[in-house]
Amino acid sequence: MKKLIMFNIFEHEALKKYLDDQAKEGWICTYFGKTLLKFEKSDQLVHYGVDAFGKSKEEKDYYDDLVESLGWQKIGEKNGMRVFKNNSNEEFFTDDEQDQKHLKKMILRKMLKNMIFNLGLLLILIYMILFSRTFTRDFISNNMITFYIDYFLLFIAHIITRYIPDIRYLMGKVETNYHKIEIRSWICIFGIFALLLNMLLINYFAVSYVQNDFLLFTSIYWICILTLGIICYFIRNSFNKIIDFIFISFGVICMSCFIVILSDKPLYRLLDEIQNNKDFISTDIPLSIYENKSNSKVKMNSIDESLIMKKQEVLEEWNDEGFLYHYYVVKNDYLNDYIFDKVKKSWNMIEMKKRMMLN
Amino acid sequence: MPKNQLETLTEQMFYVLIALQNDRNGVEIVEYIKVLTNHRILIGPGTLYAMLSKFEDEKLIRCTKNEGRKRWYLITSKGQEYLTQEIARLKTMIHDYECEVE
Repeated sequence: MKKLIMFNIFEHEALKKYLDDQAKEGWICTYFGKTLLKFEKSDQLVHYGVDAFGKSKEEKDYYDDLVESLGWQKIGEKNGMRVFKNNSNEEFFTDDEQDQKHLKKMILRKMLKNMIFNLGLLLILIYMILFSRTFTRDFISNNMITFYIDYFLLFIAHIITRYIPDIRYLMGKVETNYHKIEIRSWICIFGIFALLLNMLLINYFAVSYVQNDFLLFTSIYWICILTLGIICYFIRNSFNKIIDFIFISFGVICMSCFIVILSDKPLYRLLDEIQNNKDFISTDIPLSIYENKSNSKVKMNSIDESLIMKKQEVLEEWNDEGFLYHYYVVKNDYLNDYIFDKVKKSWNMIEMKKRMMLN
Repeated sequence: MPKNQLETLTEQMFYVLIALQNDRNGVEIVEYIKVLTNHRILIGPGTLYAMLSKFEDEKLIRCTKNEGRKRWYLITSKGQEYLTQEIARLKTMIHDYECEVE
């Protein structure tokens, strides 16, 4: 039997009660992970020892040896919280008061580490909302609004799961009811999973509209997240310091991206240039053709060249009456409605087809 | 363990200090107390570790040997004095009780 449940380091009393109650029903814990606990059916009598240990490695080694020498077997250790079991009738006992100051130090360190990570995520969000040149066109898209909402919710979920229990603990409040912890865990795990999946799907659809900066950000985001996830998976049972290092690095990478983006040569422009050098025939992006009915030259530059960038082509054609027609071919996304709203009176969309067909 | 753990010794603390009249490591302390009290007093590893750390912080005991992951402890003169005071306190309590009953 596998159970998904996340206990904070200071909730070891609730964890012990949870394990004892499972043992009463005949389920013995065989694996203790950060979010996953594995149980096996057994008739054995088991006593659990659960404690939160926030001291140095040397002290921990000594303590582990002491515990094991006295006949206790370690089931697992995650984030400083350890679970032992013993088949005899002895009790483990711990002294909470003595470890309080060590625990508080650990919690503060953890909060600081998470703050660096969150700051990186927050800066990306702030950039996308406030400083992105394509914010306006992004915002009018429902896809983008959903993305921002997801991102914001994910951020809030992260704050709730990471900081609120810690702050409550520092204020002297600790949850002892494991049913509440179990519900909280499920909401957190699946809530975050759902948001990530949602963002992924939206990203997939949004990419089809080719927004370079968005593509870049989401790519960086997912590459970092996936890399982090894969690395953490393989080293999950050891090297806690490496995980911390990766965690902090991710925050630093996000912040670096933020700084680079605000510099003279934004990354999305680089990407844009790279894309413009590609063969257009290979694209399957839907395009629209706009016709200037009034026969007057309308400068697209007057709208905002930066919004259109280099993704337009001007086609000129003389009609039978000798008038010069101007055709502007732009990508057929929601951008069009926004841009041509200003020149709607003189420009009409006369055709919509794939770029490939034009060629 | 009570908050005022070093104002009055608990039964387990009392026996740990007795056990440390000689050099002993954690396992030896527990075994010694088991035999001495005929399994009446059992000390869990969490409790023992907390006690030894607290005693060491208060300089009632000192680490005499650190071999690998094992440590041996011995009571200090301060610890001995503390234990003697505690025994005197217990004797007084017994004496007071006996006077009252008789």
